Amino acid sequence: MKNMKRAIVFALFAFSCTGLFALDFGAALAGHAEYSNYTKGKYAINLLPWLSWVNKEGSIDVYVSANLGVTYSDSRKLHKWKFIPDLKRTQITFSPTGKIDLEAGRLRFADNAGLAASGLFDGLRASFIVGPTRLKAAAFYTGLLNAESASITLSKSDSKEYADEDNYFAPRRIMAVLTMELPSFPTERSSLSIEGVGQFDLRKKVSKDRLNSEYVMVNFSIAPISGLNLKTSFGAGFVQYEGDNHIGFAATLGGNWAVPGRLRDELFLTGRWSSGAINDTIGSYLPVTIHGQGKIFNPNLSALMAINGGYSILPIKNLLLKAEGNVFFRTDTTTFREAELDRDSKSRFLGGEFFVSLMWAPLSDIMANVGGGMFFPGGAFKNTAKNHWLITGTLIVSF
Amino acid sequence: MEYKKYMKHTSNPRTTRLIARCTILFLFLCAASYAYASPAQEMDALLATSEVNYGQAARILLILTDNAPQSINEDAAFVEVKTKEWLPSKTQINDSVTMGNVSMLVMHAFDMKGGFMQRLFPGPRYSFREMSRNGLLPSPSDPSHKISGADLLNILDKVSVYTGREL
Repeated sequence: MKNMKRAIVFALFAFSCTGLFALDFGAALAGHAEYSNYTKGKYAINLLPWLSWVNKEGSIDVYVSANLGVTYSDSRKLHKWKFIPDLKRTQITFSPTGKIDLEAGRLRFADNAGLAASGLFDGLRASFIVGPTRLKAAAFYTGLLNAESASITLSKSDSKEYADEDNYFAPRRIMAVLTMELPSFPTERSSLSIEGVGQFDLRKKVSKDRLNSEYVMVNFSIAPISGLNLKTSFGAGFVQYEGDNHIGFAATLGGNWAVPGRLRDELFLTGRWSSGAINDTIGSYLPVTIHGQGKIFNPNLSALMAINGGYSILPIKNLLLKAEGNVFFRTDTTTFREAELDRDSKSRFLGGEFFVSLMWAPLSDIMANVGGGMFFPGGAFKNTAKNHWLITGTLIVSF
Repeated sequence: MEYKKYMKHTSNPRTTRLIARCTILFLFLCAASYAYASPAQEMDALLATSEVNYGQAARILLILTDNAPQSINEDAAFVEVKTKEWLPSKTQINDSVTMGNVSMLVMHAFDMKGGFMQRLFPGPRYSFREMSRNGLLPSPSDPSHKISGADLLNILDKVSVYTGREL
């Protein structure tokens, strides 16, 4: 105990000597309101404080941030504001040379293909540049994350815990990642990455509700001409759950085109597909974290095909107008779940939606965003399912 | 005039940056040649300076932004920027320039307005935030970091491209 105290005092002294007192800090205050005919009103006020410190040589970078938010939802049983403190990106990065980065803490991670996991994760990550290749290795633990922020709903127990408003922590899982990136392969204007992700349930072995899964993904990006970016990715996910082993597949194909001219406008189109249950071997694809695919109807990328397209334009400086549409199909009629689905329907068409948003940033530290749209249920839904509309508004001030 | 004409017709950002960089160096050499006996020596000295002081920074900024004649010396330049409140009151002419204070100085010299908080509190804190947000500072950097001569020229190069202001 005595040694521990000494170590803490020494660490504080060492930090003060390195100039930690000279750290930079700030905060953002965000207010969000949304209203829909399904969930009624949802309101949130978030204070996001942060601090950062970089040593003189630039080899050590410390960043700490948090979210102190209160939320209110009309759909909750108890009509009261809920306080949710959450540690956000908090990390120390050590870069001994320009070719090595070592990171520890609560790190931002998203696989390159955008098919397996994304969000904040607690753990370690090492990146090395070896010749034309960047290699990354990471190990993460999810049990200290906030359940709602982490959005991990792989097993039935995960989904139950996710829905439980009194439960704070995400399911206890470890996740390992290996990535190989070739930034100029095979040409200067294209890149290739190959990535492996494995997540393992830490629930007790006696629990039947343990789900492990591993993913192999390939992602290829190319910019054939200036302003046009194309991306395609493919992934295979291996799932072990309740004695049932199956493999699922997912793929994306899309791109965006910055239209030449003064308007600074852009067209974008992306299709995402994930397998449904086909037989005992090929089952529905299951990403680690929820990959929502829509703005109003927001299904996970599991047994789903979604096509997203749209247009954005900056008509005047600091004002971005964006209009987009989504069309959804389920890729099987057994595993895709949604409250108002017609169980007898064989239709794969889930519906379509449009959403229009306006983002205005009059100054660099003030941003306002308003949006609205409607989802039209397709043939897979019950006849009684209504059109679902949503309006949102957000104001963010940084100081 | 020829230079401006050429800048208008070039759309390659790399070329623009190179031209801007060369122009900064050229103008600085011209300015230095007017005031000092050996401009090459002074240029070398600045690039070799690991920590620029406020006198040096003030002089370069004022000359390059046409806020002072090329004959101005460091003492007069420092007094000028202090009078204009482009630097915090506590700074001394021989102190090493910090990343926060150079951000404040550059934003004033280039008449960059910044965000709401910058307008409310036009100090080094929000100037650094603004410059950093727009990628105009070396990364990673901290407001307390001391800057070198090469850092200063690099920042001026980026700011001239960002603001579109020909130096």
